[in-house]
Amino acid sequence: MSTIAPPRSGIGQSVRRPDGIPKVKGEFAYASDMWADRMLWGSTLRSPHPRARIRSLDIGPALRVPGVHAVLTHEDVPGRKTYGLEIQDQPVLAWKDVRYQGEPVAIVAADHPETARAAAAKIEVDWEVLEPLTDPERALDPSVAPLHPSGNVLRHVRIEHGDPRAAGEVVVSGEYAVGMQDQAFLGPESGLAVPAEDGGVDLYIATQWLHVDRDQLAASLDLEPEKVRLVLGGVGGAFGGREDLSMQVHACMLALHTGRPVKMMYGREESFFGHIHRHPARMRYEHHATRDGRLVAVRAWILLDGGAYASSSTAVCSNAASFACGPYDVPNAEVDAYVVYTDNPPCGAMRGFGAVQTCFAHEAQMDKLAAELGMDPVELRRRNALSTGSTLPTGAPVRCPAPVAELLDRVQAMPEPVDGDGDGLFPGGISNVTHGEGVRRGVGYAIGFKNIGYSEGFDDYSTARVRLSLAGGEPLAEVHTAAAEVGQGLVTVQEQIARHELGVERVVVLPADTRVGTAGSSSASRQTMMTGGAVKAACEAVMEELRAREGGSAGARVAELLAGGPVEATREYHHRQTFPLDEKGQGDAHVTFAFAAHRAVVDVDVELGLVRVVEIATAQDVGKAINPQAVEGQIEGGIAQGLGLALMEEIQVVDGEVRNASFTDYLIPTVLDMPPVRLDVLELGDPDAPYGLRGVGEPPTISSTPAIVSALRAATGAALTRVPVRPDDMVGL
Amino acid sequence: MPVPPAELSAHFTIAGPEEARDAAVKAAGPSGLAREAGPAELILAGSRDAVLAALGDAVVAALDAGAHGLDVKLEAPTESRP
Repeated sequence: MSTIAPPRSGIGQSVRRPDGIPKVKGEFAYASDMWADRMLWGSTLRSPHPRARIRSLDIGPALRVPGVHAVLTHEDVPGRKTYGLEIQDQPVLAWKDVRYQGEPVAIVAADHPETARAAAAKIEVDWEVLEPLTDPERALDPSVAPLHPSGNVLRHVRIEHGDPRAAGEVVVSGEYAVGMQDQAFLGPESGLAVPAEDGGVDLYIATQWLHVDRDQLAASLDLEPEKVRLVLGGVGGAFGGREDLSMQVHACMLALHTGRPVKMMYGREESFFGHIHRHPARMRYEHHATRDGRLVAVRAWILLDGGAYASSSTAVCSNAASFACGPYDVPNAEVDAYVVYTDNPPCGAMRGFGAVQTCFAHEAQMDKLAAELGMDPVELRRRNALSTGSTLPTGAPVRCPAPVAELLDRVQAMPEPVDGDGDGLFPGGISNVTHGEGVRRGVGYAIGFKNIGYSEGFDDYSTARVRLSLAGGEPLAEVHTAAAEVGQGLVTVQEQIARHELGVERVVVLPADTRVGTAGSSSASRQTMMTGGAVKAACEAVMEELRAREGGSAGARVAELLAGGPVEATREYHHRQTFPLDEKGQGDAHVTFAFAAHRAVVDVDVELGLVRVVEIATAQDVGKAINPQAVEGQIEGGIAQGLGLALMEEIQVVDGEVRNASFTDYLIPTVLDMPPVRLDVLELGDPDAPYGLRGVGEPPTISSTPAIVSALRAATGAALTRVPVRPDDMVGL
Repeated sequence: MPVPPAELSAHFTIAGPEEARDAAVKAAGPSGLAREAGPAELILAGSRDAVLAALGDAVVAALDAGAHGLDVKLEAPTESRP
């Protein structure tokens, strides 16, 4: 097929994404925009208490509201009454005990959303309010009454590497804390459940993983998986917050009960109670080094607050332990990571997945150690940099490119913005609280790394079906996967790969649904590698078939070869096998890693504690930039989320109650908070990955936070051991 | 991140007074395998030997506390983790 034209919009090009302009113009159809004839609206009654016991529940007053079609409780769950990604410990609807504020208790379907809400409010619950367990350190105490039958410690991961008690000539220690961050996706949870004639249900849903949703739904609805069909709706961001079920089972129960389509859509406040968040962490570290700045040992104690239910907590705990020492050669290590149940909001997957928390701590420790040694903090990091062939504290070798020193070199070599460059911008912005007096500049560095894809023995794979046919006399490729486009640009990546492999311009990516095999979740920075790999493999199979058709007629056009009928292939892409960590935290648990370094430049009004982040510089190895513009978008977006954790984003939980469930009180960075980003993207191919690529989405979030806080320390001299940093922390109140 | 199903899971429903259910929870809890699965319903999930041992303890405790019936369902999926 020598006549195949090279693709004009294949891999390595900044192809414009199809959803970009519709989203900017407000024309994109999100899951919350869906509609069906005769549709009812669902609403949820939630516990107002973080811990309580239901003495009695009377749904009668709600049923008597005109327009109400159904009021359901746990007694109406047809199948399994609990769900969960790792441990099925979370009730679909509470039957007796509630363990966090906002736990669903009953659901209502009505002909108008306000009617449904009003009816839910009329359900009478006789609560026995109990004292909540909200301190994760208390939850470690075995004498404290357990929230779940098997105790409050969900998982303890211990890593022993080398001589855990090894000591160095210089020792620094510190205690650090990370607050509860929200994914703050802009499209709240929403879905439309439509009962089907075969007794099953079709669910149109904003999610991250269609098949895992389906399997949990089938179990709770007591239906065969084939009778639960999911189609991806328009997703307005995810960041881990849509990995767990929210309203999926509820909407399907109501639809199957009433025989009518049911739409559920959370408002912003309900969304804060309707999904999991980033684990808050408390960490204690001790770093030992030689006087010339070689790390001798790291000891870390990490406590993650899992909240009321397991979600992804056991895997987050494992990741926190795995990456506790940072991207450094550490000959001896002792890490104890715990995750516990409390009556706080449940926590689970969020961008960075355990590595965010520990990166904040180990990078603060590296700065502290550099100060103790009188050494440049970048030089200290460079001197201990991990590289290909290094051994991790888990005993596993680093096989992939690990350009830690090079990333630091590149970031450090970038020009810094000039102090007092006359741009007229100061901390406090338009509040006009200073004209430069009391403003100090600080510069800080950080580097981090994280696993790509699923770890610890999970059979991680994705499936793609590719069909090449003639349409209007020209080749048309259709790509079908269940991979969730959550805003990261995955549809465009699939198009680019198909164009590149097939040499055809016309490529259509079909809606993601469960009619094709699983793609895994859009998480762990894995979809470009995993679903990209599956699309590549399916395209290669299609090309193989075309070549077989070509036979002796070398030089035939693709269109001529397709005259004999379309060609279709379905392929799975599996990554290399990984293995669980053993009782000493040893094992080849991760498939590959991604690295990024950041430098932050900040101006701080040291009298008021106000901050202006002047610039972020970053260098990141992505293996292969399939779509360079999308890579830049991911990096800038990830930095924004890291900046948010550094300076403002925290769910305020007091005695188990959320105090800021709104975007008025839970602050996220706006365009006015985001500084210019200076980017350097490396493409050091991973020989074990399709096109050599690695994930992009998470590393920008991991080390941007500690870089900003390092710069704040440099500007203020304050210790700043907790994020988000508050103005009073900097002023010293 | 989901994990493969356990080697063996035992789902059991207890008929009898609330004390019987509480006794079963108390007996199975230390195994680290127990979770609630509904009113008077428990699931034990883990390796075969550990589940069977915990199940025995829970059944005995529930009967001693006045249970007059136990409905036990065991599942050993083909794809599982030990």
